[in-house]
Amino acid sequence: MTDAPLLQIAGVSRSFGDVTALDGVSIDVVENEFFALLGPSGCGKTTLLRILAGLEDPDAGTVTLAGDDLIAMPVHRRPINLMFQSFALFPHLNVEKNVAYGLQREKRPKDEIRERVAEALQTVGLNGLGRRRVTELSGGQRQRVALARAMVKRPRLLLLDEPLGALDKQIRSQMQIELKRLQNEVGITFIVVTHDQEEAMSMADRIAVLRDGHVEQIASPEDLFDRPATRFVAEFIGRTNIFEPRANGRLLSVRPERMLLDKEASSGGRLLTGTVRDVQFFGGVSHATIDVDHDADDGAATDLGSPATIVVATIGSTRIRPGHQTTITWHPESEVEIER
Amino acid sequence: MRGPVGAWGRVHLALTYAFLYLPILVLVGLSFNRSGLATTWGGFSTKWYGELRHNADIREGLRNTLIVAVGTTVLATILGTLLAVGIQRHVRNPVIEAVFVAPAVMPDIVLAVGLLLLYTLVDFTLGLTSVLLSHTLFCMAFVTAVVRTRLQHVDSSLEEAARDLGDTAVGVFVRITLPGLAPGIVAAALLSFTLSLDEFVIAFFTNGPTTPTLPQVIYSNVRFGVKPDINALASVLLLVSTVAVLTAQRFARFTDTIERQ
Repeated sequence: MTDAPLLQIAGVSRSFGDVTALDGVSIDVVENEFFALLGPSGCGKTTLLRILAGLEDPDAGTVTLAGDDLIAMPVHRRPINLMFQSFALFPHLNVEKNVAYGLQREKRPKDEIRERVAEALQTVGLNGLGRRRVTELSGGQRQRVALARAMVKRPRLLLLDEPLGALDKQIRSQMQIELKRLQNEVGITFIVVTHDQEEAMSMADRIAVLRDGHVEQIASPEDLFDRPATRFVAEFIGRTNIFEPRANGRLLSVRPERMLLDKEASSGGRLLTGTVRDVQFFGGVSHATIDVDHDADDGAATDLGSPATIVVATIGSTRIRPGHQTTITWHPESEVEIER
Repeated sequence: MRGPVGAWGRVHLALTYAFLYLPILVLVGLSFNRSGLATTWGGFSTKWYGELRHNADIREGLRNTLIVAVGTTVLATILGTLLAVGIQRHVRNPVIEAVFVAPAVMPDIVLAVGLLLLYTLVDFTLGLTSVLLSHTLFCMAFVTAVVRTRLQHVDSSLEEAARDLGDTAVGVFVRITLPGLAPGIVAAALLSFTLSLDEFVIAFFTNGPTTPTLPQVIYSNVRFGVKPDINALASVLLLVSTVAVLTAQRFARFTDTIERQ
């Protein structure tokens, strides 16, 4: 990253009573980035988002936006807008007035407000629905209103709290694409909070994986998948097989996609034998769960510190059935050293 | 669970409702009795309602009661709403949170005597002002209870969203909080009005001698026997209260509908 970061979060901590929500979190976000905060519930990602928005104060640490101290700025003066998980649309105002709310507070001229509201509604695909009551809208439409309302002020930073969480699965994947398109179109820096790793992987330029209030790893989706830094990341993003070789006390992660079934070992390749326990078919891919033969003559399973079962991914359906004796092979280059 | 009831159940229900509403039915019935006697039906007539207008005591009492009821409604609604919001946002002490309701649940007579003692102690001249203040205190507790219930159902992220969109704390209260509370506030105001309208005990203790409220006028009249025009007056009051209570319930239901959406 050559750009100076737009947002710098440094050593931010926050506790609620005995519970530590955030513990020394440091993250840089650059201009125009689509950034995701990913983690299981209770990892502190929403608290961090609320600190950025100004709805919560950190106990320690600094946050700067384009060099300005953000913590000192009151919530209504920050050039940041938040799209709430519940959408938080004002039920007594119609769509137009919901979207216009922020601009009216800026005391913009009426003509400008009308123009920008219409433009925002157009951008999110809600032309002609301006006069509707928000209570008459579908979930997907409400989400678009919330998005338009947060974007119309042209914030430096747009925060989205589980933006797709309230939507049906079908609309969700469509909205993922649309959010990405919108972010490109309006050129606003996005920070999305999500617990859904697929959602984060498919939309974000970079992802910070949070766990128990600290950052486990910050990386691109590809790097998180191919080079997870910790066991938590390796297991949280996709599926993986964790090996504990006897030689050094380190852990190795090998993705199911990097392994092959029923093949001869290539030179220098790894080979284990085992019995197929179960096959899950997902359409594009199948996952075979193999009981590893730990008593094989070569002792490979023990040397490699193999887990009791290994998951291997195959493209499409597979003719392999439970009970089948098989080999598992992979190349050592597919092994990624991870922290415990 | 609602299930079918047998014949006995229905009789039981009818008797209970008769017990509840027979006095009111008798009162309303007699107010239309031409003869003016409780024991003989002289035919249907609205003449007692006509006579109400010419009774100077009643008109004076009505004027006093309306002054007190309207003043009480305005004051109790404003103060009670602010108290509800304040308790909801800033009070973490369960005792303080609970005691606001005391004036509503303690016996009227205790409140009335206490108020009288207090007014005497500070040398406050008894009159409509002292009744108005007493009723405000009494009704405020009800307003606070009603508005608090409503507040607990209002999504606090709405206020946060308004702040996030650049509104000031006062702006958020006026533009977001109050509209959200409106159904509760209207219901509470109507409730205050009806409570004050027919309140007797507190008014009896805290009023001066020259400004009787309507319930006081009625009381001093019926001491020498119930006159038929009092029946008519009571029926009018009944109508006003019923309309106010039904309207308040409508608003409460409207509130529920919004929540479900």
